[in-house]
This record gives sequence, C-alpha cells and structure tokens, in this order.
Amino acid sequence: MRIVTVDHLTKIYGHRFNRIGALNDLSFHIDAGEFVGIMGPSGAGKSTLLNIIASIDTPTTGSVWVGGIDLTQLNDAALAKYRREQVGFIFQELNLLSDLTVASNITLPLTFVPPAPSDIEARLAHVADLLDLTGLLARYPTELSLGQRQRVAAARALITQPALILADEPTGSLDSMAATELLSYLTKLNLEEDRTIMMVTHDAFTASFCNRIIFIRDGAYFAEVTRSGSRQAFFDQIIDMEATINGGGKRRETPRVD
Amino acid sequence: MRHLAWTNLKRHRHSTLIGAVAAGVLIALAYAVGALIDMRPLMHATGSVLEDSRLMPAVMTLAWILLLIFIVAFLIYLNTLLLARRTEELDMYRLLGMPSSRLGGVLIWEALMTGAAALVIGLVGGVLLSKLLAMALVRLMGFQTAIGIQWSLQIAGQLIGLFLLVYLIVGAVNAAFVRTLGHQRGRRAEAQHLPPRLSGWQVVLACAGMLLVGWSAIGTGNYFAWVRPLRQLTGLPGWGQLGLLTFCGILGTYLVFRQSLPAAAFLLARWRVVRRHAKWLLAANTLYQRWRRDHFALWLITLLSTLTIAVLGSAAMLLQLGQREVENSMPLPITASVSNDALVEKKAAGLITRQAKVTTKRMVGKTTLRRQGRDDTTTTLYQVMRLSDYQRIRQWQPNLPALQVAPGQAALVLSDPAFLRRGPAQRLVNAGRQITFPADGRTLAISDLTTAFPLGSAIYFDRGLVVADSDFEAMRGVNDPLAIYWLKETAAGHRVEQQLDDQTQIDYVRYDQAVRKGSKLPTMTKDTDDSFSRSGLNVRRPMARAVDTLFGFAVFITLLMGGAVLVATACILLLKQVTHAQGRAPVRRVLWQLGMPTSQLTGVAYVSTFGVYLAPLVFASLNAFVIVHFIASATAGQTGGLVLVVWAIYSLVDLAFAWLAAQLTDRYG
Ligand SMILES: Nc1ncnc2c1ncn2[C@@H]1O[C@H](COP(=O)(O)OP(=O)(O)OP(=O)(O)O)[C@@H](O)[C@H]1O
Ligand SMILES: [Mg+2]
Repeated sequence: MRIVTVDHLTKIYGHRFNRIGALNDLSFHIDAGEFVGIMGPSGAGKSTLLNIIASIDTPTTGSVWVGGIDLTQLNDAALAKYRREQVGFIFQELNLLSDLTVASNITLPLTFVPPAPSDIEARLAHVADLLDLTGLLARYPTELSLGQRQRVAAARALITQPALILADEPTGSLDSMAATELLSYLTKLNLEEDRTIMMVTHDAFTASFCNRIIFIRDGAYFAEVTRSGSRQAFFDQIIDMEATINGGGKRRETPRVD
Repeated sequence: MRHLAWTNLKRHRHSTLIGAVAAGVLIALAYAVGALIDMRPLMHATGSVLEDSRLMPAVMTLAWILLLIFIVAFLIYLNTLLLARRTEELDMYRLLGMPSSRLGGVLIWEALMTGAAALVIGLVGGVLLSKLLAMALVRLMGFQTAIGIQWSLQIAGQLIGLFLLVYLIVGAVNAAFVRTLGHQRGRRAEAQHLPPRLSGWQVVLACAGMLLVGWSAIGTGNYFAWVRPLRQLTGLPGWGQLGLLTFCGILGTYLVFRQSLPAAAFLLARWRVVRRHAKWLLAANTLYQRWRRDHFALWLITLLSTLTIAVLGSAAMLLQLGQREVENSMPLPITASVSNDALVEKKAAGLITRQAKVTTKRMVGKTTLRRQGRDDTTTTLYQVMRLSDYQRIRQWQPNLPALQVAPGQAALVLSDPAFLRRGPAQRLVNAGRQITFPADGRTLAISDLTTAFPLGSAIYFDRGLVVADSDFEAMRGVNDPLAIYWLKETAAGHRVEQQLDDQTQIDYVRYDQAVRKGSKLPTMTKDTDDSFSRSGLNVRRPMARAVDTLFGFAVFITLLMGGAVLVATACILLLKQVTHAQGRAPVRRVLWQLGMPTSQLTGVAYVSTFGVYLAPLVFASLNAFVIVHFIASATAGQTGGLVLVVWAIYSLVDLAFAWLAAQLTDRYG
C-alpha cells in the first residue's frame, strides 16, 4: 500500500530576481511499513522535502499525497489536523517546551483540541515504556541528557499513533552510543508497531538502519539503494553511492558494524 | 554611525515605535498644559470666578512641573527596559570587535533620533491637544470663552531643549553602560524559560502576600466589628495605623506579584483539567513566567494605577459632593433674611420676576436623640416653620420629602444623616422622641426627620422644625421672616446676582445662658462668643459656578495626570509584551508545526495577555475602591455614579491596550 507519493515536486525559494531551487521535479513513493532514509549532499533539499511532506512548507508546483490525500488541496485547519493526527515529526532541534514537564511535553499534541482522549495516561505509559522514559516523566527537559531529550522528542511524535513518522537528522547531535540506542528504538517501532518512517540523514552508519535509501542531489532524484543482505553490506552500498553522488574518488574507511 | 543607528532602530521597530509614540503623547500633554498656562484670556476668566487670579496658573504650573518630572522619570525607566533587552545584541557588537567608543556613539545617535521623533510627534500632537484640553477645561469649569489654536514658541522651545537634553543624557548613560558590558559576559546565558518551581517558603510568602493585601483593604475600610480592636493592637495613633495599613498594602501587592500570582498559575498548570487542554496549560505557564519575570513592573504599574483611579475617583466624588452641597444649602435662586431684603429689592429693581415670603420663628429647644447607638441630649436653636409653608416650598424645591405632622407633633430638620437611622420595620429610631421649649414649656413629639432643609441649609442657624399651623401660632419665639426672589434670566439679571453675591451678609443671634434657659428670646446681635450665625443673603448661581469651576478644575488636573500615567503604564506593559512575544515566537512556531490549530494559538495569546493586563487592573481597582470609600466616609461623600463612570472609562482604556497587546502577540511567530 502506498502511503507517500511525491509527484513532480518543485520548490523554489526567493523572488523573481533571486531564485533558489531547493527541489526540482522530484518524484518517488513509499509503501506502508517501510523505513526509508533520505540522503544527499548538504543543500540538496532533504529538509525542504521533509517539511513539505509534514505540511510545514508548501510546494511551488507538484503535489504530495499522504494516505490517499492530496496535501495541496487542504486548508489551514485541515492541515493542522493532518499534522496532529497523521504524521509525527522528530525535529533536529528537538523543539521541546522547557517550561513543561516531560510528561506534558509528550502528551501535548493530544491536548490541542479538546476533549483529550480518555486513554491518554495509558498511551503515555506505553510510549514511555517503549522509549525507556518512565523514570523521567516528572522532570523538565533542561534536566535531561541530550539523548534522553531526543527520546522525549520521539515520544511526542509517537503518542498520536501516526501512520507516518518523519525524522530530520534525529541523531545529528548525538554521540554514537546514544545514536545507536535511538536508532534501535526506531527500528523497534518500525518492526513491532508497523510504523512507516522517513528519516533524513547524512551519516551512512545511521542510514544503514533503514531498509531503503533515496539519494537526492540538487533537489532531484538521483538514485536509491535497497537493503537485501546484511547491514554491513548495505552500509558498503551506501558508502559507494555517497562516493558517486559526490563525484567519486573519495572512499572513506569502513567502520565496523555489528 | 548614523546609518548603523538607523538600522538598529529599524530592527527594533516595534519597541522603537512604542517608545517614541508614548514619549510623544506625553510630550504633547506637557506642551498642551504649558500652552494652557500661557492662554491669558482663559486664565483670566478662571481667575475671576475663583476670586484669585493667581491660584489657577500657580496650580497649573505645579501640575506642569510634576508632569515633566514624571515624564523624565518614565523616559529613564523606559530606557533601562529597552537597554536590558538589547544587552545580548550589544555584547555581540563588542565581541565582533566594534570599539566601545563607536558603539557608544551609535547609542547616542539612536537616542537623539528617537528623541527627535518623539518631539515631532509631541509638538504636532500638543498643538492639537492644547485646543482640545482648553475646550475640555472650558466645559468642565462651565464658562463661555472662544479658544483658538495655540502655538507657543516659548513652551515649544523649552520642551525641545529639555527633552533633547534628557535623550542626550540617556544616550550618554547607555554609551557608558556599553563599556561595562565585557565583564558580564557569560553570566546571562541562562535559559529563556526556567522550569516552574514552587517551594515551601514560596507558598508561605504567597499566602502572606494575599493576607497582607486583604488585611490592608479590610483594615482601612473598617468593614467588620473585629477590625478596630485588631488595629489598636499596635498601639499606634489613627494616622499611624493608616500608615501601617498602607505599607501592608504596598508590600502585600509586591508579594502578590512576586509570589502569589505565580504560585496560583503554577497550581493551575498542575490541575488535571487544565493539563488536558493545551490552550489553558500553555496560558497558565505563560502567565507564570510573565508574572514572575515582570513582577516589579507590574507592581509599579499597580501602584500607579491605584493612585490614578483613586485620585480620579475622589475628584469625581468631590465634584458630586460639591454640587450636592450647593443643592442642599441654596436650592433657590436668592434667599434673604429680613435684614437683607431691602438690599435685594433695591439692587434688583425691575428684574424680579417673582418673590415669596415665609415666616419662621426662632426658638430654643431641648431634645434627646439616639445617634450611633448612644442617647445625646442637646439644647440648641431651632427655626420653626408652618406645615402649610413647607407644602408651599415643596412646589419650588421638589426634592423635599412629604412630612407627616399632626398637631402636637414636629418634623425635625438637621444635617447629620446619622440621626435618620431606621430600626425594625423601617421605623425611624428617633421617631416619637420629645422636644421641649424652655421659653413656653411646650412639648412636641417628633414624628419625622429629614436632612433636606426647606429654602436650603444656608439660611438656618442650626436645626429646623416643621409644625402644624395651629401649634406655630401658639409658640413663643422671635419672628424671622425669610424672602425668596426669582430674577430675570438675562445678562443683567446674572450681573445683579453676581453683585449681590459679593455682599457677604452674616446674621448673628444671641445664644447666652438666659436664652438657653428660656428667660430671654434669641434675638439678632453682633458677633459674640455666645452666638449662632448664618448667611443672610444666598445667591445660588455664583456659588454653583464657583463650585463647578473649582472642582471641574480639580477633575481636569487629575484627568491630565491620570492620562499621563495611563499612557506610561500602558507603554511599559506593551513593551514587556512585545519583548515576551518575540521570545515566545519560536515556541508558537513549534506548536503550529505540531498541529495546534491557529484559533487555539490565538486563544493562548489572548488569555495570557489579558491575564497580564487584568492583574494590575483588578488589584488597583480593589485598592482604589478602598481608598475612595475611605475618603467618602471621611467627607460624607458617596461612592456612586460618577466614580463608577470614571473607573469604567479607565478600565476600558486599559482593556483596549490589552487587546492591542494581544493582537501584537498573536502576530509573532
Ligand atoms: N527559507 C529558505 N529561503 C531560501 N532558501 C532556502 C530556504 N530554506 C532552504 N533554502 C535553500 O534551499 C536549498 C535546500 O535546503 P535544505 O535545507 O532542504 O537542504 P538540506 O538538504 O536539508 O541540507 P543539510 O543537509 O545541510 O541540512 C538550499 O540551497 C538552501 O539554501
Ligand atoms: Mg537539513
């Protein structure tokens, strides 16, 4: 089943005399249950793409279909409802509210439009358990480590039980230990809870947790790699593709993956 | 340097604009008041009514100087506010290697540019406002003078000089401040919004704040029986107790903003119902941060607003009191005693449209009345009147009540309403008491009491008495005929009234031991230690005008000051609001990205903004009500009508500013 269809998507920033093309006639689609990575050089348009799918940004031309709905046809209120119910966004900058407790931060999206669901406590307990946050619910974000905060951001994205999870470099500011931890949580979500995940990253190790990688360059579709064998093999494939996209030549040393 | 200054002003255009406009409005006010003092014909006209041509300019000049001091103080406070929110930016300029002398120069330029803008707004606005104020003054004081647009070069020059100097000094102080910046680096890195906290001693202080405010209000108003002994526990004299209560109020208000309100918001945010609705949760959290962060400004604003509402309310109350006093003391155009009617008839010859005579008798009477729970026996002078005359006077003086008087009975007229208390079944406590007259040994039963004097209290020596016609004829007293005149409503008539008013006529009547015992009758005499007095010639119109002028003037001055305070406080709150909204914009964006509907986001902005504006208004209104009530009980005034109107107008203007601030907040992010 198709969950995301990106159809001839173009995004141009700026005005008439100073145009910056961020996305250029980009098309692809994602099936339900996939864990897709988006990669590409800096400035390729990865964040722009994710923002448009999250309806935080609007396309110049082309369209995005999510779960059978054309986002360009929705009005403001419907888009807010879409963001609230269909997608969960894990921001790179986390965007937690520092004057709310971890618990309130996580349940926030459920309380935007009253009445709040009656099983709110149960849902909170569930995601807290899943992301190992149970002991931290009464704390404030400033009292957490970066990795813990990242998990809170993930929990906030999950609590609405969205069909689609979008993550923009979720491991960008984490050390490899914390990154691995978060990625294994995401994998668990993908496998156990059957959530579709789209993750932007420019780190091959992070990308190797996905089962398909879409490469974009200069805002256009460049190539894609699908995992077929071990993670190590997938990792090597990704490194190769990165070398190609950067014009070849540079081949980084392969780290151990276990 | 000038270019950079301009860019900076543009970058902070909202706060620059608010600051310049507020300063401009205040300067306009200062110009207008200054120009009013310069308006010779107006000052002359007021002088002629107040019988002292120097009073008005003197008071106005005093008000002007106070206004200028207030404005300068406000500008300095405003500058510290504006600078505090820019330290980060200024720090960065220094970090990037801009020499402090150059940065200082930029700040001086910025100050001068803002000052110039404020002066332009102020002088243009001032010229228009001065005409408006002059017209308002003319109306409030009730006379006809044509007012043109007033352009006073001298006042404008003074203001330009003063305020350019103030802005220059402000700029220089800022420039000096920049030099100290380097030392503080790193200390200010704390988070924008600290997590809310509530510790035990904060709860104690929060409760103490509410208790102090409550006690200050209850104690000042003396609303309960247990208040007095509690107040006297301190062993202080009355004024000392009041001082202590005022101090309690001021300290309590501070604690309320510092602790009680944040604590309330904190508890609110913890409440299950609130936690389940993001709009209320976010609003409660925002209010916690705002009240806590801006407690000093909010406290200051509350005090200023209290003062403004209280002074405005008191002025309104005194105006009403004065008008009621005129109505009570001289309800008819001219009343004259027998020694003065010849004078009136001579001066007003040909202008009298109607006249009437009423005969009263002067008698000494003795009675025991109950007042504030105690019986008091008094012997004093009564002017006795026929019931039929009273009925006749009621036609000209419609506010007189109908009195129940049968033969053998008397209706008592006196000025202290405390004697008119009613007991069970609405029966007058003092009805049924006896009044005896030593001169003829007669005794009458008091059947009714009133504070409305027929013909007005000014023509009475002390109390009045209305008796049945048959009793009146039989009573042994000195005849005291009173005359009432109505003059033509023409300029000539008014002029004669003015002339008559200038002739002060006091009647004295003997009140020695013999008179009290009844062996002699109370007759006219010269002023002695043992005498009663009254005004023998009362002209209503000039008196009413003098009262209107005097109190109208008082209301006018307080309105001016109130307006200045309102503009200043609103500006401070607006600036705080803009600062807050800018800091909060990223949060609003996050909430929007998470799918919070815009209507809910707007709801948060409105609830939190109105919470910030309403808190000082509510506490100031409460305090001001207590103060006005206190003044009312001290002056026998009444807190009603006009006081409420004044309060309502103040609140409406304040809420309009709140709405504007909410709109601004809603537009960020
Ligand atoms: N608001 C904007 N206004 C103008 N140009 C923009 C804006 N946002 C992004 N761009 C431009 O669009 C292009 C794509 O930006 P985008 O943020 O999507 O890149 P990215 O692939 O996420 O890069 P990175 O890996 O560095 O995060 C860039 O050239 C960027 O300069
Ligand atoms: Mg990016």
